[in-house]
Amino acid sequence: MTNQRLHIQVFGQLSEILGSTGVDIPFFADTNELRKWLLTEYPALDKLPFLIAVDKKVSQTSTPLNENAVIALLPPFSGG
Amino acid sequence: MKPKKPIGDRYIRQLMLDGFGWEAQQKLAKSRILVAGAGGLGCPSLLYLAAAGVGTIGIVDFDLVQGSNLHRQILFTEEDIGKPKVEQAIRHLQERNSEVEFIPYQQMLSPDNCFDLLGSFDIVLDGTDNFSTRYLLNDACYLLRKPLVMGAISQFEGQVSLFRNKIDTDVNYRDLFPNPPRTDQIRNCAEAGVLGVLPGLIGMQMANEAIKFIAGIGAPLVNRLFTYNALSNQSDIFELSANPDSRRGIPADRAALEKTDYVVLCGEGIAGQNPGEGGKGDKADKADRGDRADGGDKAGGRARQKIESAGPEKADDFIDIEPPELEKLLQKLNTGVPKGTKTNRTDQPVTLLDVREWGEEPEPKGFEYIQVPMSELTTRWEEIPEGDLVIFCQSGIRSKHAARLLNGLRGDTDTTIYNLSGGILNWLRYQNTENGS
Repeated sequence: MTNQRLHIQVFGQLSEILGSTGVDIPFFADTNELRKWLLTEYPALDKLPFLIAVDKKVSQTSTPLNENAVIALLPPFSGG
Repeated sequence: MKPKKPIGDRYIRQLMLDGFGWEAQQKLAKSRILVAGAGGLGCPSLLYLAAAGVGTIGIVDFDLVQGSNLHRQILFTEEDIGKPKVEQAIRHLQERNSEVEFIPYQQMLSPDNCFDLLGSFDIVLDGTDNFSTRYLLNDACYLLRKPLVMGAISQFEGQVSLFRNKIDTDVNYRDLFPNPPRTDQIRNCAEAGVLGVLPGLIGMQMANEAIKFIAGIGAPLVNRLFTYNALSNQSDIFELSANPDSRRGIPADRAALEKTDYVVLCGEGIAGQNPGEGGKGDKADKADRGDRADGGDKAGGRARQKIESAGPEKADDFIDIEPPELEKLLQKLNTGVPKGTKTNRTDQPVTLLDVREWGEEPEPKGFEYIQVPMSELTTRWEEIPEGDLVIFCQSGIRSKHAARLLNGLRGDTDTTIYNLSGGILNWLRYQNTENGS
């Protein structure tokens, strides 16, 4: 087991689900694993689409993570 | 229309700029921009686009100015309340720059009209307030290969991007979010509130992107998403990439788009976006409700949305009702109590309940009703007569929340709660159509 942690920035309404605009979570090797864990830990996320950005890049394929990665979760906004 | 009064030095301060100059000014003067939505984002965008000397500006919006718009929709004045936004926006903008040609479109963007409407414009600004129109605009602009400036807000945060739609790798909204979220899960300004300054900032960013793009200066937000948080002042730019699966959701061509019901797609019952198509949005709403798990917002939508995914599924909290059905209901029943009557726990068969805040326009016509604003519902719900309820608000969104809230507050009763689909705007439109006006 590792003691590594990840820090994620949470945008918009997602912060209501995760409880904060910044959350420390266990370490995961890539964004696929991270997404899977998030959906298990916060089932309400299943109803909201969100992007995962790593170091300010949004990738559609799984991205490897390291402890210093700047991770952001971005939901769509509808307001105008 | 006033005679044009060329003001020689009007644009002098931007003409002086290195990298802007006459050439860029000429490009602006020849450009045609369509602004979709004359609301929180549209108003500031329009002010700056007109001031900068854009040649032709089209404005599409079906709505009327309301009192609750004034804190952020800064084009409008108190005298404008109740009047069409497009008409008033153009009046105010024309006073500021008589050289700009404005084209009013006081209508809803729909799959039927958007191709014709977008066709003659060089670039489109999306300042709309709902996902069905956002996806419609995105898909139409993608098919037309037309640049689209997307701006969107949520409470204290905003997003801006420019979907260039020029080459295949250009990112569009579907690359970010391939399918529309379920509307029940994302609150708009009417439900969640918005700080007035925020759409001002984001709307100006949108105008800036459009001006840069037309003038060919700077680095537009192509394949990038700008985000801003008004509370923390944090802003970020995220790099985006095309999503191989994203384009599957976009209709293949114009004919396919015209057959797409975006309101159903987005699970919205917003009548503003779907008048006279009774029942269509209804189905999506019902499907939506089938597995929704949140307990509904508290009064005024200010309280945090409580989402408990493992909670027991609830039977239908309410029944959506379209204007024709309401008309039938009204014909059958002599309903309601006069506005202002306090408690009437007698044998009223159906009570019509306005959950809009005090002073919101327009005034309902065609029936009697009581008013308990959403923000007072949790403290005053017991004043509402027992029995069946028809709940309405402006566009049918808040009333859904009110319906769920009241259903929970009332507990187990045999009464039925109806939600007037599309709200009072839908009802008034229906009445106007029925009266042949």
